[in-house]
This record gives sequence, structure tokens and C-alpha cells, in this order.
Amino acid sequence: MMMDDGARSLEPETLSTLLRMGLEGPRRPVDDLIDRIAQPDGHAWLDRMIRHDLPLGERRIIPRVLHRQAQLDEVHELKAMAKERLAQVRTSQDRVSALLSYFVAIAGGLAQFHLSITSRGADDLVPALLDLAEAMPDRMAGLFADAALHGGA
Amino acid sequence: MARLRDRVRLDGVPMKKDVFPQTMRTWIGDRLREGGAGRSAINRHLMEVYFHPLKVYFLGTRDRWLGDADDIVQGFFADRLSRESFVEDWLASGLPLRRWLCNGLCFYLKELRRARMRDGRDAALVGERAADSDDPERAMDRAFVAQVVRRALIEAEARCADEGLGEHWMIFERHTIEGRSYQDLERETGIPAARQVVMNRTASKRFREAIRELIARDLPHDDLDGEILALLEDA
Repeated sequence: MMMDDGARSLEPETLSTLLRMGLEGPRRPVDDLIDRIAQPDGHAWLDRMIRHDLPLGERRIIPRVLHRQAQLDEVHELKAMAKERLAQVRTSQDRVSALLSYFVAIAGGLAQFHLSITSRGADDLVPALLDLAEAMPDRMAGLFADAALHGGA
Repeated sequence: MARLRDRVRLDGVPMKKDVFPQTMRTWIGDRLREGGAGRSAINRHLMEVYFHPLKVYFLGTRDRWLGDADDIVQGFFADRLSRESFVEDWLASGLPLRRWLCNGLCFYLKELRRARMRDGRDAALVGERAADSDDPERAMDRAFVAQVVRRALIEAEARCADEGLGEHWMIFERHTIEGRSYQDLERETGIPAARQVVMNRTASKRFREAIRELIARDLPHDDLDGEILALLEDA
């Protein structure tokens, strides 16, 4: 039987890069949010959160971030509110909704101001933003994709 | 890089998505229950993934005088895979499959050596035996990585094509494999860079699924990340 002789057209560095892509790593906090959005009613859930269910302060800022009309201090304010809620959440539902506001703030900082407002490194942040962009409805995906691009993708 | 799109996908090896990859134990168990067709699928998988790494291993040993590498490894597979218990014995060994095959090849080479000595063939060559290369096992691991990566690329491309994600795969090939920038590709394809990064991510996930499934089939345990890290150290 004739067999080929492997991936001779790939450089060793490319092989290592591709092999490294096989790593899955531990589950990340953002995966809870991504899983919620990926559920069949995920996009309807997002709408409900943004229009009705999030705390008023977050609901006021998020549409401005999504339309890239927010001021930088509003982005910081949104992140601070989300972090405060994350520190106090009691249910997984509250946690996921706080994560939503948190990542909208992070994405807004990068996409609109090209500024990272988190201490997270690009290695953690960019894959999370890309996964969110993949899961989000089209009208929101662009913000997260742009954020990933400015975050080092 | 050559286009992979038209090449064959893994024959008889169904790939599941969005689940933890099947370990080889599970996959082989399922195939064995299918009878003759299942055994053929196992044999095809072994030939496709391990033929080249075993050749590399053989060429790194002092036994390379025994003959042409293709012939030797084909002979090894023909001999061992015809044994009913070969796969079951691996399952009981607790070793990664490539180590099990490597050990099996060593025994096979020993048998060949003895046979050659007995009938006096190649007597002149015996004295010219070379020493082992620095580390034939490491060379085999590198060849295994190359083969698994290549097959995962073929499989992931086929999955993308099946799902209507051909453009996603094209972006993956050009950006991740060929190193083209998103801006450059935007000029060429008209696809905005921000869209490309998400497309690339989607195709990357198909590739990750494929390579994890292939490596899982080499392992008797489920510590896939640990195995990938170990392979990266040798890569």
C-alpha cells in the first residue's frame, strides 16, 4: 500500500502552532455566558436582558456601547457595576447576566476606544471575545469581533 | 500550501462534534462490536496515522539494514493486524497506542533479524549495522505529530465544507497556516477583517475537534491536554 510521508509541507513552527491549538484548557467563566447565548432561546434572552432584566444603570449604558456612542467613563462605569454584581451574585443566572455586562464593557473599550480596560492578558481575552462574537447575534457580533481585532487577534 | 479540500477524509472513522473526544478504548470497543467491517476500520486508521511515524522510527534504529522501510512497516502491519488479539492486548497494556506499536515493531524487527541470521541472508550487511540515531522514539513522536496534524487538517476542512463553511476554512488556511494578515486578506477577498477573525475562530474550532479526536485515539486515558503538552515539548 502506498502511504504518504506526513505533513512535509508544514514548517515545524506551524506544526507546533497547530498542535497547540488542540489544547482545550480548563473551563473559563465566560463559557457560562457563551453557553447561555448558544441555547435555542439565547438571542431572545439577550434581548430581554438588555431591554428589561439587567439593572437600570447597566441597561442605560449598554445600548450606547453597542452603538459605539458611549463615553469612555461610561464604559468604565459599566464594568465597575458588573464587577460589583459579580462579587455579590448568588445564582448562576445573576452571574451570567453580570458577565454579559462585564464583557460588553470590555468589548466597548477595545472596539470604540482601542483601549483595554481590564488587566486580563490578550491570550485570555481575545479567544473569549472571539467566542462571544461567534455566539452573538449579528447586530452585536461586530462589536466583539472588532474588540478582538484591537485586542491582538 | 497545497489545497487539502479534494483529499480523502478519514474513511470509516465517524467524528463526533461538541463532545469530549472518544478515547481509543471507546472507539475501538465500538468498532470491535461491528465485527469484520469494524476491524477493517481500525486497521485503516492504524495504517493512515501510524505508518509514517513507524517508518521514521525504523529508519532511526540500527536495524534499518533489514530492508526497505515501506516494506518493513507494511510487513509489520500485515503480520500483527492479522492477529485477533493485537488490539485487545493494546487495550490491556495501558500504553499510548504509538508506544504499543513501537514496541511491537521492535519485536517484529527482532524476529526478522533472527530469521535473516538463521538462513544466512544479508550476512555481509550484519557487520555494517549502524548505531541507533540519537532518539528514534522522539523522531517517531515528531512524525506522529506531523501525521496527526495533517489528517486533522483534512478532516476539519471536510467538516467545514459539509457545514457550508468553505470561506471560513479558506481564511483559516491563509491566515493561520500561511501567515497572511487579515488586512491583506480583506483587500483580496473583500471580507472585513473583523468578520475574518470570527470566521477563523470557527474554523479553528473544527480543527481543534479533529485533532483532539485523533490524539484521543492514541491514548488509553483521557488526559488529552497533558498528552498534547508532552508532544509540544518534543516538537
